[in-house]
Amino acid sequence: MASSAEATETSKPSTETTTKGAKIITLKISDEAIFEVEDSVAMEILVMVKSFLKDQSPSTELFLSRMYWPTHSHTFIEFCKEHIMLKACSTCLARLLLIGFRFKSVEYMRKFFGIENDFTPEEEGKCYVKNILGRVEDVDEDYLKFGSFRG
Amino acid sequence: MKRVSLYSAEIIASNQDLLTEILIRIPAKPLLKFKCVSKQWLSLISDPKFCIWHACHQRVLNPTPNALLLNNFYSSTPTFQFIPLIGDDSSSYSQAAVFDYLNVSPNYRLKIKNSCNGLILCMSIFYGCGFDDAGSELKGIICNPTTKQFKTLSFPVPKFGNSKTYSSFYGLAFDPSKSHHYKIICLHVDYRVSKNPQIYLYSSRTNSWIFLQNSLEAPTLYGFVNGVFCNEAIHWCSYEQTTLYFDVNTESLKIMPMPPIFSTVNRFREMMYFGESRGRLHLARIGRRFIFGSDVWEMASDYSGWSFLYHVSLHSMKRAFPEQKFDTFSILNVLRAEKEGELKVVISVDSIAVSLNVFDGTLKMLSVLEPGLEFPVELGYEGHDAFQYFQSLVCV
Repeated sequence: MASSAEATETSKPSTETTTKGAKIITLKISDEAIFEVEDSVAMEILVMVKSFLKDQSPSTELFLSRMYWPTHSHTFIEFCKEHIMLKACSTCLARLLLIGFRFKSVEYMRKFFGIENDFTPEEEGKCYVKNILGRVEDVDEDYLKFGSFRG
Repeated sequence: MKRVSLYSAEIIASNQDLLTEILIRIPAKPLLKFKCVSKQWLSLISDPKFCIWHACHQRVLNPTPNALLLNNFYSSTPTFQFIPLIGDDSSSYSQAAVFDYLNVSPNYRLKIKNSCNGLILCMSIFYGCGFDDAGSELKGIICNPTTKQFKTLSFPVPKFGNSKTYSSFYGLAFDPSKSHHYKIICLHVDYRVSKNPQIYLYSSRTNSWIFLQNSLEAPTLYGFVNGVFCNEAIHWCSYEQTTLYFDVNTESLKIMPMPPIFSTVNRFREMMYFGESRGRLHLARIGRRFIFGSDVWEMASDYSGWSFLYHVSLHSMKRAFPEQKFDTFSILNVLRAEKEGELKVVISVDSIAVSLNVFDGTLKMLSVLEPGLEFPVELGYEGHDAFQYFQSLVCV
Protein backbone atom coordinates (compact mmCIF):
# COMPACT_ATOMS: atom_id res chain seq x y z
CA MET A 1 0.00 0.00 0.00
CA ALA A 2 1.53 3.33 -0.98
CA SER A 3 1.83 5.61 2.01
CA SER A 4 1.78 8.79 0.08
CA ALA A 5 -0.79 8.46 -2.60
CA GLU A 6 -1.28 11.04 -5.21
CA ALA A 7 -4.60 11.61 -6.77
CA THR A 8 -3.34 11.97 -10.25
CA GLU A 9 -5.90 14.20 -11.75
CA THR A 10 -4.53 12.98 -14.99
CA SER A 11 -5.61 9.42 -14.19
CA LYS A 12 -7.98 8.42 -16.88
CA PRO A 13 -11.08 7.10 -15.25
CA SER A 14 -12.37 4.19 -17.18
CA THR A 15 -15.94 3.18 -16.79
CA GLU A 16 -17.44 -0.24 -16.68
CA THR A 17 -20.81 -1.30 -15.50
CA THR A 18 -21.67 -3.79 -12.82
CA THR A 19 -24.51 -6.21 -13.25
CA LYS A 20 -26.61 -3.85 -11.16
CA GLY A 21 -26.04 -1.05 -13.65
CA ALA A 22 -23.90 1.27 -11.53
CA LYS A 23 -21.01 2.96 -13.28
CA ILE A 24 -17.53 1.98 -12.22
CA ILE A 25 -14.77 4.54 -12.09
CA THR A 26 -11.20 3.35 -12.06
CA LEU A 27 -8.95 5.43 -9.88
CA LYS A 28 -5.25 4.90 -10.39
CA ILE A 29 -3.38 5.98 -7.30
CA SER A 30 -0.09 4.59 -8.40
CA ASP A 31 1.12 1.70 -10.46
CA GLU A 32 0.56 -0.51 -7.46
CA ALA A 33 -2.75 0.83 -6.38
CA ILE A 34 -5.65 0.86 -8.73
CA PHE A 35 -9.15 1.00 -7.38
CA GLU A 36 -12.39 0.44 -9.10
CA VAL A 37 -15.13 2.27 -7.29
CA GLU A 38 -18.77 2.83 -8.03
CA ASP A 39 -19.61 6.28 -9.23
CA SER A 40 -21.40 7.18 -6.00
CA VAL A 41 -18.19 6.50 -4.08
CA ALA A 42 -16.17 8.53 -6.57
CA MET A 43 -18.57 11.44 -6.13
CA GLU A 44 -18.15 11.37 -2.38
CA ILE A 45 -14.39 11.34 -2.75
CA LEU A 46 -14.62 14.34 -5.04
CA VAL A 47 -16.71 16.25 -2.50
CA MET A 48 -14.20 15.50 0.24
CA VAL A 49 -11.23 16.51 -1.85
CA LYS A 50 -12.95 19.76 -2.78
CA SER A 51 -13.70 20.61 0.84
CA PHE A 52 -10.12 19.74 1.76
CA LEU A 53 -8.80 22.06 -0.89
CA LYS A 54 -10.95 24.90 0.41
CA ASP A 55 -9.15 24.78 3.73
CA GLN A 56 -5.64 24.22 2.47
CA SER A 57 -3.45 26.25 0.20
CA PRO A 58 -3.52 24.33 -3.01
CA SER A 59 -0.42 22.55 -4.12
CA THR A 60 0.21 20.52 -7.16
CA GLU A 61 0.45 17.32 -5.22
CA LEU A 62 -2.41 16.12 -3.09
CA PHE A 63 -1.57 13.51 -0.53
CA LEU A 64 -4.82 11.74 -0.17
CA SER A 65 -3.59 9.39 2.50
CA ARG A 66 -3.01 12.31 4.83
CA MET A 67 -6.48 13.63 4.44
CA TYR A 68 -8.83 13.04 7.27
CA TRP A 69 -11.68 10.93 5.98
CA PRO A 70 -14.81 11.53 8.02
CA THR A 71 -15.77 7.95 8.49
CA HIS A 72 -13.60 6.16 11.03
CA SER A 73 -10.58 8.34 10.24
CA HIS A 74 -9.27 5.87 7.73
CA THR A 75 -6.92 6.43 4.90
CA PHE A 76 -8.24 7.03 1.44
CA ILE A 77 -7.62 3.46 0.41
CA GLU A 78 -9.51 2.05 3.34
CA PHE A 79 -12.33 4.46 2.73
CA CYS A 80 -12.74 3.12 -0.81
CA LYS A 81 -12.56 -0.45 0.34
CA GLU A 82 -15.09 0.08 3.11
CA HIS A 83 -17.59 1.68 0.79
CA ILE A 84 -17.25 -1.09 -1.68
CA MET A 85 -17.43 -3.75 1.01
CA LEU A 86 -20.55 -2.33 2.63
CA LYS A 87 -22.26 -2.08 -0.70
CA ALA A 88 -21.15 -5.60 -1.58
CA CYS A 89 -22.53 -6.92 1.72
CA SER A 90 -25.95 -5.42 1.32
CA THR A 91 -26.15 -6.39 -2.36
CA CYS A 92 -25.16 -9.93 -1.52
CA LEU A 93 -27.69 -10.25 1.27
CA ALA A 94 -30.44 -8.89 -0.93
CA ARG A 95 -29.59 -11.36 -3.67
CA LEU A 96 -29.47 -14.26 -1.23
CA LEU A 97 -32.93 -13.38 0.02
CA LEU A 98 -34.23 -13.09 -3.52
CA ILE A 99 -33.00 -16.50 -4.56
CA GLY A 100 -34.40 -18.13 -1.44
CA PHE A 101 -31.10 -19.40 -0.12
CA ARG A 102 -32.70 -21.74 2.43
CA PHE A 103 -33.85 -24.05 -0.31
CA LYS A 104 -30.67 -24.00 -2.30
CA SER A 105 -28.18 -26.79 -2.37
CA VAL A 106 -24.59 -26.65 -1.25
CA GLU A 107 -23.44 -26.75 -4.86
CA TYR A 108 -25.59 -23.74 -5.69
CA MET A 109 -23.99 -21.75 -2.89
CA ARG A 110 -20.55 -22.64 -4.17
CA LYS A 111 -21.41 -21.29 -7.61
CA PHE A 112 -23.03 -18.21 -6.12
CA PHE A 113 -19.93 -17.27 -4.17
CA GLY A 114 -17.44 -18.63 -6.65
CA ILE A 115 -15.98 -21.04 -4.12
CA GLU A 116 -14.04 -24.15 -4.97
CA ASN A 117 -14.96 -27.34 -3.23
CA ASP A 118 -11.84 -28.33 -1.30
CA PHE A 119 -13.30 -31.41 0.39
CA THR A 120 -12.36 -34.89 -0.69
CA PRO A 121 -15.43 -37.02 -1.50
CA GLU A 122 -15.01 -38.90 1.80
CA GLU A 123 -14.74 -35.71 3.82
CA GLU A 124 -17.73 -34.24 2.10
CA GLY A 125 -19.74 -37.40 2.68
CA LYS A 126 -18.97 -37.29 6.40
CA CYS A 127 -19.92 -33.63 6.57
CA TYR A 128 -23.17 -34.33 4.77
CA VAL A 129 -24.15 -37.20 7.06
CA LYS A 130 -23.23 -35.32 10.20
CA ASN A 131 -24.83 -32.02 9.41
CA ILE A 132 -27.60 -32.63 6.95
CA LEU A 133 -29.25 -35.97 7.62
CA GLY A 134 -31.66 -36.72 10.41
CA ARG A 135 -33.38 -33.48 11.21
CA VAL A 136 -35.71 -32.72 14.12
CA GLU A 137 -38.51 -31.76 11.76
CA ASP A 138 -39.55 -33.52 8.61
CA VAL A 139 -36.75 -33.61 6.08
CA ASP A 140 -37.06 -30.86 3.47
CA GLU A 141 -37.60 -31.89 -0.08
CA ASP A 142 -34.46 -30.05 -1.01
CA TYR A 143 -32.42 -32.40 1.15
CA LEU A 144 -33.83 -35.37 -0.67
CA LYS A 145 -32.86 -33.82 -3.99
CA PHE A 146 -29.35 -33.28 -2.69
CA GLY A 147 -28.39 -36.60 -4.13
CA SER A 148 -25.01 -36.33 -5.73
CA PHE A 149 -23.18 -33.80 -3.69
CA ARG A 150 -20.14 -34.30 -5.80
CA GLY A 151 -21.94 -31.95 -8.19
CA MET B 1 -1.29 -4.55 -10.94
CA LYS B 2 -3.82 -5.32 -8.28
CA ARG B 3 -7.42 -4.89 -9.15
CA VAL B 4 -10.13 -5.13 -6.53
CA SER B 5 -12.91 -7.27 -7.86
CA LEU B 6 -16.36 -5.81 -7.60
CA TYR B 7 -18.45 -8.93 -7.96
CA SER B 8 -20.13 -8.67 -4.61
CA ALA B 9 -20.47 -12.32 -3.71
CA GLU B 10 -16.85 -13.02 -4.53
CA ILE B 11 -15.69 -10.11 -2.43
CA ILE B 12 -17.69 -11.53 0.44
CA ALA B 13 -16.31 -15.02 0.01
CA SER B 14 -12.71 -13.84 0.04
CA ASN B 15 -13.07 -11.82 3.24
CA GLN B 16 -13.70 -13.72 6.47
CA ASP B 17 -15.16 -10.70 8.26
CA LEU B 18 -17.61 -9.98 5.48
CA LEU B 19 -18.56 -13.62 5.17
CA THR B 20 -19.29 -13.65 8.89
CA GLU B 21 -21.53 -10.59 8.50
CA ILE B 22 -23.54 -12.45 5.89
CA LEU B 23 -23.69 -15.80 7.64
CA ILE B 24 -24.88 -14.46 10.99
CA ARG B 25 -28.01 -13.26 9.23
CA ILE B 26 -28.84 -16.72 7.92
CA PRO B 27 -30.92 -18.98 10.22
CA ALA B 28 -29.26 -21.94 11.90
CA LYS B 29 -30.81 -24.78 9.94
CA PRO B 30 -29.59 -23.72 6.47
CA LEU B 31 -26.20 -22.88 7.98
CA LEU B 32 -25.74 -26.45 9.11
CA LYS B 33 -26.23 -27.49 5.52
CA PHE B 34 -23.75 -24.89 4.29
CA LYS B 35 -21.02 -26.34 6.45
CA CYS B 36 -20.47 -28.63 3.45
CA VAL B 37 -19.65 -25.78 1.07
CA SER B 38 -15.94 -25.67 1.79
CA LYS B 39 -13.41 -26.23 4.54
CA GLN B 40 -13.36 -22.53 5.31
CA TRP B 41 -17.12 -22.46 5.74
CA LEU B 42 -17.01 -25.61 7.88
CA SER B 43 -14.38 -24.11 10.12
CA LEU B 44 -16.16 -20.77 10.41
CA ILE B 45 -19.65 -22.13 11.09
CA SER B 46 -18.30 -24.64 13.62
CA ASP B 47 -16.36 -22.03 15.59
CA PRO B 48 -18.05 -21.63 19.01
CA LYS B 49 -17.44 -17.88 18.93
CA PHE B 50 -19.22 -17.63 15.60
CA CYS B 51 -22.11 -19.67 17.00
CA ILE B 52 -22.60 -17.27 19.89
CA TRP B 53 -22.28 -14.24 17.64
CA HIS B 54 -24.83 -15.85 15.32
CA ALA B 55 -27.21 -16.55 18.21
CA CYS B 56 -27.06 -12.91 19.34
CA HIS B 57 -28.01 -11.69 15.90
CA GLN B 58 -30.73 -14.25 15.40
CA ARG B 59 -32.32 -13.27 18.72
CA VAL B 60 -32.78 -9.77 17.34
CA LEU B 61 -33.66 -10.77 13.77
CA ASN B 62 -36.04 -13.62 14.67
CA PRO B 63 -37.43 -13.13 18.17
CA THR B 64 -40.43 -15.40 17.63
CA PRO B 65 -39.72 -19.04 18.49
CA ASN B 66 -39.48 -21.38 15.50
CA ALA B 67 -41.74 -23.92 17.18
CA LEU B 68 -43.11 -25.29 20.43
CA LEU B 69 -42.10 -28.65 21.84
CA LEU B 70 -44.58 -30.51 24.01
CA ASN B 71 -43.76 -33.21 26.50
CA ASN B 72 -45.06 -36.65 25.66
CA PHE B 73 -44.37 -38.80 28.62
CA TYR B 74 -45.67 -42.12 27.46
CA SER B 75 -43.45 -42.62 24.49
CA SER B 76 -40.49 -44.88 25.16
CA THR B 77 -38.21 -43.19 22.66
CA PRO B 78 -37.91 -39.52 23.58
CA THR B 79 -40.52 -38.00 21.31
CA PHE B 80 -41.97 -34.57 21.65
CA GLN B 81 -44.81 -33.06 19.77
CA PHE B 82 -43.67 -30.32 17.51
CA ILE B 83 -45.77 -27.29 16.66
CA PRO B 84 -44.18 -25.04 14.04
CA LEU B 85 -44.84 -21.35 14.59
CA ILE B 86 -43.02 -19.81 11.68
CA GLY B 87 -43.66 -20.19 8.02
CA ASP B 88 -45.96 -22.47 6.13
CA ASP B 89 -43.70 -25.47 6.29
CA SER B 90 -46.21 -27.54 8.20
CA SER B 91 -46.11 -30.30 5.65
CA SER B 92 -48.10 -32.47 8.00
CA TYR B 93 -50.23 -31.24 10.84
CA SER B 94 -48.99 -33.79 13.26
CA GLN B 95 -45.29 -33.60 13.63
CA ALA B 96 -43.08 -35.28 16.11
CA ALA B 97 -39.57 -34.46 17.14
CA VAL B 98 -37.76 -37.67 17.85
CA PHE B 99 -34.68 -37.37 19.98
CA ASP B 100 -33.42 -40.88 19.42
CA TYR B 101 -29.84 -39.67 19.25
CA LEU B 102 -29.94 -39.07 23.02
CA ASN B 103 -29.54 -42.80 23.73
CA VAL B 104 -31.94 -42.90 26.65
CA SER B 105 -32.31 -46.38 28.14
CA PRO B 106 -35.81 -47.91 27.72
CA ASN B 107 -36.54 -47.89 31.49
CA TYR B 108 -36.37 -44.15 31.53
CA ARG B 109 -38.50 -41.39 30.21
CA LEU B 110 -37.22 -38.03 29.13
CA LYS B 111 -39.12 -34.97 30.12
CA ILE B 112 -38.29 -31.44 28.99
CA LYS B 113 -37.96 -29.19 31.99
CA ASN B 114 -36.72 -25.95 30.50
CA SER B 115 -35.86 -24.36 27.22
CA CYS B 116 -33.87 -21.22 26.77
CA ASN B 117 -32.57 -19.53 23.62
CA GLY B 118 -31.98 -22.68 21.63
CA LEU B 119 -30.97 -25.03 24.45
CA ILE B 120 -33.27 -27.43 26.24
CA LEU B 121 -32.87 -29.20 29.55
CA CYS B 122 -34.42 -32.62 29.97
CA MET B 123 -34.57 -34.80 33.05
CA SER B 124 -34.33 -38.53 32.82
CA ILE B 125 -36.97 -40.15 34.96
CA PHE B 126 -37.29 -43.74 35.92
CA TYR B 127 -40.64 -44.79 34.48
CA GLY B 128 -43.07 -46.21 36.99
CA CYS B 129 -42.12 -44.01 39.89
CA GLY B 130 -44.74 -41.44 38.95
CA PHE B 131 -43.79 -37.88 38.30
CA ASP B 132 -41.53 -37.47 41.26
CA ASP B 133 -37.83 -37.22 40.55
CA ALA B 134 -37.12 -39.94 43.06
CA GLY B 135 -34.21 -42.29 42.79
CA SER B 136 -30.66 -42.41 43.93
CA GLU B 137 -29.39 -40.57 40.89
CA LEU B 138 -30.73 -37.58 39.08
CA LYS B 139 -29.66 -37.38 35.49
CA GLY B 140 -30.31 -34.57 33.12
CA ILE B 141 -29.48 -33.88 29.52
CA ILE B 142 -28.76 -30.48 28.09
CA CYS B 143 -29.32 -30.48 24.38
CA ASN B 144 -29.37 -28.30 21.28
CA PRO B 145 -32.03 -29.91 19.07
CA THR B 146 -30.84 -28.07 15.95
CA THR B 147 -27.29 -29.41 16.01
CA LYS B 148 -28.19 -32.53 18.02
CA GLN B 149 -25.31 -31.84 20.37
CA PHE B 150 -25.98 -32.90 23.93
CA LYS B 151 -24.33 -33.38 27.30
CA THR B 152 -25.43 -35.66 30.12
CA LEU B 153 -25.21 -34.20 33.61
CA SER B 154 -25.54 -35.66 37.05
CA PHE B 155 -27.74 -33.50 39.19
CA PRO B 156 -27.09 -33.11 42.90
CA VAL B 157 -29.40 -35.02 45.22
CA PRO B 158 -30.69 -32.94 48.14
CA LYS B 159 -29.50 -33.32 51.69
CA PHE B 160 -32.84 -34.16 53.28
CA GLY B 161 -33.54 -36.90 55.75
CA ASN B 162 -36.37 -38.56 53.87
CA SER B 163 -35.56 -38.33 50.21
CA LYS B 164 -38.99 -39.24 48.88
CA THR B 165 -41.06 -36.21 49.79
CA TYR B 166 -39.15 -33.35 48.28
CA SER B 167 -40.01 -31.33 45.20
CA SER B 168 -37.50 -30.16 42.65
CA PHE B 169 -37.62 -27.13 40.45
CA TYR B 170 -35.25 -26.40 37.63
CA GLY B 171 -34.21 -23.47 35.56
CA LEU B 172 -31.95 -22.94 32.58
CA ALA B 173 -30.30 -19.57 32.13
CA PHE B 174 -28.68 -18.77 28.81
CA ASP B 175 -28.36 -15.40 27.17
CA PRO B 176 -25.86 -15.34 24.29
CA SER B 177 -25.73 -11.56 24.33
CA LYS B 178 -24.47 -11.60 27.91
CA SER B 179 -22.34 -14.71 28.16
CA HIS B 180 -21.02 -17.66 26.19
CA HIS B 181 -21.96 -19.94 29.04
CA TYR B 182 -25.19 -21.26 30.45
CA LYS B 183 -26.23 -21.96 34.01
CA ILE B 184 -28.62 -24.50 35.45
CA ILE B 185 -30.43 -23.88 38.71
CA CYS B 186 -31.75 -26.76 40.76
CA LEU B 187 -33.99 -26.08 43.75
CA HIS B 188 -34.86 -28.87 46.12
CA VAL B 189 -37.46 -28.14 48.76
CA ASP B 190 -39.23 -30.36 51.24
CA TYR B 191 -42.16 -28.30 52.45
CA ARG B 192 -42.81 -30.66 55.34
CA VAL B 193 -39.37 -29.98 56.71
CA SER B 194 -38.52 -26.39 55.89
CA LYS B 195 -39.48 -23.59 53.56
CA ASN B 196 -35.86 -22.88 52.64
CA PRO B 197 -35.02 -24.38 49.28
CA GLN B 198 -31.61 -25.91 48.76
CA ILE B 199 -30.02 -24.23 45.78
CA TYR B 200 -27.55 -25.87 43.48
CA LEU B 201 -26.04 -23.98 40.60
CA TYR B 202 -24.26 -25.44 37.58
CA SER B 203 -22.14 -23.40 35.23
CA SER B 204 -20.98 -24.64 31.85
CA ARG B 205 -17.88 -22.52 32.30
CA THR B 206 -16.65 -24.59 35.23
CA ASN B 207 -18.63 -27.73 34.32
CA SER B 208 -19.44 -28.20 38.00
CA TRP B 209 -22.14 -27.66 40.60
CA ILE B 210 -21.93 -25.39 43.61
CA PHE B 211 -24.22 -25.33 46.63
CA LEU B 212 -25.49 -21.87 47.53
CA GLN B 213 -26.31 -20.88 51.08
CA ASN B 214 -29.88 -19.73 51.30
CA SER B 215 -31.89 -18.31 54.16
CA LEU B 216 -34.85 -17.11 52.16
CA GLU B 217 -38.14 -18.82 52.88
CA ALA B 218 -39.95 -19.76 49.73
CA PRO B 219 -43.67 -19.67 49.09
CA THR B 220 -45.16 -22.95 47.92
CA LEU B 221 -44.29 -23.20 44.27
CA TYR B 222 -46.67 -24.45 41.63
CA GLY B 223 -45.58 -27.96 40.92
CA PHE B 224 -46.23 -28.28 37.23
CA VAL B 225 -44.22 -25.39 35.92
CA ASN B 226 -40.48 -25.08 35.82
CA GLY B 227 -38.35 -22.01 35.82
CA VAL B 228 -38.78 -19.38 33.13
CA PHE B 229 -35.75 -17.35 32.12
CA CYS B 230 -36.42 -13.69 31.60
CA ASN B 231 -34.25 -10.59 32.06
CA GLU B 232 -31.31 -12.47 33.58
CA ALA B 233 -33.37 -14.30 36.18
CA ILE B 234 -35.20 -17.58 36.54
CA HIS B 235 -38.79 -17.25 37.70
CA TRP B 236 -41.16 -19.78 39.16
CA CYS B 237 -44.80 -19.27 40.02
CA SER B 238 -46.77 -20.11 43.11
CA TYR B 239 -50.31 -20.14 44.45
CA GLU B 240 -49.58 -17.60 47.10
CA GLN B 241 -49.31 -13.83 47.07
CA THR B 242 -45.61 -13.95 46.34
CA THR B 243 -43.31 -16.17 44.39
CA LEU B 244 -39.66 -16.82 43.86
CA TYR B 245 -37.05 -15.86 41.34
CA PHE B 246 -33.33 -16.42 41.09
CA ASP B 247 -31.13 -13.55 39.98
CA VAL B 248 -28.45 -15.19 37.85
CA ASN B 249 -25.96 -12.34 38.14
CA THR B 250 -25.99 -11.96 41.92
CA GLU B 251 -26.74 -15.68 42.36
CA SER B 252 -29.44 -15.03 44.92
CA LEU B 253 -33.07 -15.90 45.47
CA LYS B 254 -35.57 -13.10 45.62
CA ILE B 255 -39.28 -12.61 46.16
CA MET B 256 -41.69 -11.08 43.68
CA PRO B 257 -45.48 -10.60 43.80
CA MET B 258 -48.07 -12.86 42.18
CA PRO B 259 -51.29 -11.42 40.79
CA PRO B 260 -54.22 -11.56 43.22
CA ILE B 261 -56.29 -13.95 41.15
CA PHE B 262 -56.44 -17.22 42.98
CA SER B 263 -59.41 -18.22 45.03
CA THR B 264 -58.52 -19.85 48.29
CA VAL B 265 -60.92 -22.72 47.71
CA ASN B 266 -59.58 -24.25 44.54
CA ARG B 267 -56.01 -23.11 44.83
CA PHE B 268 -54.32 -26.40 44.26
CA ARG B 269 -56.42 -27.42 41.36
CA GLU B 270 -55.83 -24.30 39.32
CA MET B 271 -53.76 -24.86 36.23
CA MET B 272 -51.52 -22.12 34.99
CA TYR B 273 -49.68 -20.91 31.98
CA PHE B 274 -46.46 -19.19 33.00
CA GLY B 275 -44.07 -18.06 30.32
CA GLU B 276 -41.96 -15.38 28.76
CA SER B 277 -42.05 -13.43 25.53
CA ARG B 278 -39.78 -10.59 24.44
CA GLY B 279 -38.52 -9.89 27.93
CA ARG B 280 -41.87 -9.93 29.74
CA LEU B 281 -43.44 -12.56 31.96
CA HIS B 282 -46.98 -13.72 31.34
CA LEU B 283 -49.41 -15.70 33.42
CA ALA B 284 -52.88 -17.04 32.80
CA ARG B 285 -55.19 -19.61 34.31
CA ILE B 286 -56.09 -22.46 32.04
CA GLY B 287 -58.08 -25.65 32.09
CA ARG B 288 -61.64 -26.76 31.82
CA ARG B 289 -62.93 -24.02 34.10
CA PHE B 290 -61.69 -21.33 31.74
CA ILE B 291 -63.20 -22.65 28.58
CA PHE B 292 -65.16 -19.43 28.27
CA GLY B 293 -62.07 -17.31 28.37
CA SER B 294 -59.07 -16.46 30.44
CA ASP B 295 -57.21 -13.33 31.45
CA VAL B 296 -53.54 -12.98 30.59
CA TRP B 297 -51.45 -10.98 33.04
CA GLU B 298 -48.10 -9.34 32.35
CA MET B 299 -45.40 -8.53 34.86
CA ALA B 300 -44.02 -4.99 34.96
CA SER B 301 -40.39 -4.67 33.94
CA ASP B 302 -39.42 -3.38 37.39
CA TYR B 303 -41.19 -6.24 39.19
CA SER B 304 -43.55 -3.82 40.87
CA GLY B 305 -46.59 -5.88 40.01
CA TRP B 306 -48.72 -7.62 37.46
CA SER B 307 -51.21 -5.94 35.20
CA PHE B 308 -54.03 -7.30 33.14
CA LEU B 309 -52.91 -7.61 29.52
CA TYR B 310 -55.82 -9.04 27.57
CA HIS B 311 -58.64 -11.51 27.72
CA VAL B 312 -58.33 -14.64 25.61
CA SER B 313 -61.75 -15.77 24.51
CA LEU B 314 -62.75 -18.67 22.37
CA HIS B 315 -65.44 -16.82 20.40
CA SER B 316 -63.63 -17.20 17.11
CA MET B 317 -63.07 -20.90 17.77
CA LYS B 318 -66.78 -21.35 18.39
CA ARG B 319 -67.62 -19.43 15.23
CA ALA B 320 -65.23 -21.57 13.23
CA PHE B 321 -66.50 -24.84 14.71
CA PRO B 322 -70.12 -24.16 15.63
CA GLU B 323 -71.09 -27.81 16.14
CA GLN B 324 -68.15 -28.56 18.37
CA LYS B 325 -68.45 -28.63 22.11
CA PHE B 326 -65.06 -27.90 23.54
CA ASP B 327 -63.94 -29.73 26.58
CA THR B 328 -60.41 -28.73 27.39
CA PHE B 329 -58.50 -25.56 26.92
CA SER B 330 -54.91 -24.67 27.51
CA ILE B 331 -52.59 -21.84 26.64
CA LEU B 332 -49.34 -23.06 25.17
CA ASN B 333 -47.57 -19.82 24.46
CA VAL B 334 -48.16 -16.10 24.63
CA LEU B 335 -46.40 -14.22 21.87
CA ARG B 336 -45.88 -10.56 22.43
CA ALA B 337 -45.05 -8.61 19.31
CA GLU B 338 -43.47 -5.28 18.59
CA LYS B 339 -46.65 -3.91 17.15
CA GLU B 340 -49.73 -3.75 19.35
CA GLY B 341 -52.03 -5.28 16.76
CA GLU B 342 -50.10 -8.51 16.64
CA LEU B 343 -50.55 -10.08 20.04
CA LYS B 344 -50.91 -13.78 19.50
CA VAL B 345 -51.67 -16.68 21.75
CA VAL B 346 -51.03 -20.29 20.88
CA ILE B 347 -53.80 -22.31 22.46
CA SER B 348 -54.81 -25.92 22.49
CA VAL B 349 -58.50 -26.71 22.47
CA ASP B 350 -59.26 -30.39 22.79
CA SER B 351 -56.76 -31.92 20.42
CA ILE B 352 -55.88 -29.06 18.15
CA ALA B 353 -53.39 -26.26 18.50
CA VAL B 354 -54.20 -22.92 16.96
CA SER B 355 -52.64 -19.52 16.88
CA LEU B 356 -55.13 -16.87 17.85
CA ASN B 357 -54.68 -13.19 17.14
CA VAL B 358 -56.17 -11.61 20.21
CA PHE B 359 -57.26 -8.37 18.64
CA ASP B 360 -58.96 -9.44 15.46
CA GLY B 361 -59.80 -12.99 16.45
CA THR B 362 -58.19 -14.56 13.39
CA LEU B 363 -57.22 -18.17 13.78
CA LYS B 364 -54.46 -20.14 12.23
CA MET B 365 -54.53 -23.89 12.50
CA LEU B 366 -51.17 -25.15 13.66
CA SER B 367 -51.22 -28.76 14.62
CA VAL B 368 -53.22 -31.79 15.67
CA LEU B 369 -52.15 -32.90 19.12
CA GLU B 370 -51.57 -36.40 20.33
CA PRO B 371 -53.45 -37.18 23.50
CA GLY B 372 -50.26 -38.38 25.15
CA LEU B 373 -50.64 -36.42 28.32
CA GLU B 374 -48.20 -36.67 31.14
CA PHE B 375 -50.61 -37.17 33.95
CA PRO B 376 -53.66 -39.38 34.47
CA VAL B 377 -56.84 -37.50 33.67
CA GLU B 378 -58.21 -38.19 37.18
CA LEU B 379 -55.77 -35.69 38.57
CA GLY B 380 -57.51 -33.00 36.60
CA TYR B 381 -54.42 -31.73 34.86
CA GLU B 382 -55.13 -31.60 31.21
CA GLY B 383 -52.58 -29.18 29.89
CA HIS B 384 -49.50 -29.71 27.86
CA ASP B 385 -46.11 -28.44 28.90
CA ALA B 386 -45.02 -26.34 25.96
CA PHE B 387 -41.46 -25.14 25.46
CA GLN B 388 -40.19 -22.56 23.04
CA TYR B 389 -37.78 -23.89 20.45
CA PHE B 390 -35.34 -21.58 18.73
CA GLN B 391 -33.05 -22.80 15.97
CA SER B 392 -29.54 -22.22 17.12
CA LEU B 393 -25.95 -23.30 16.59
CA VAL B 394 -24.72 -22.76 20.11
CA CYS B 395 -22.51 -25.41 21.59
CA VAL B 396 -23.59 -27.36 24.60
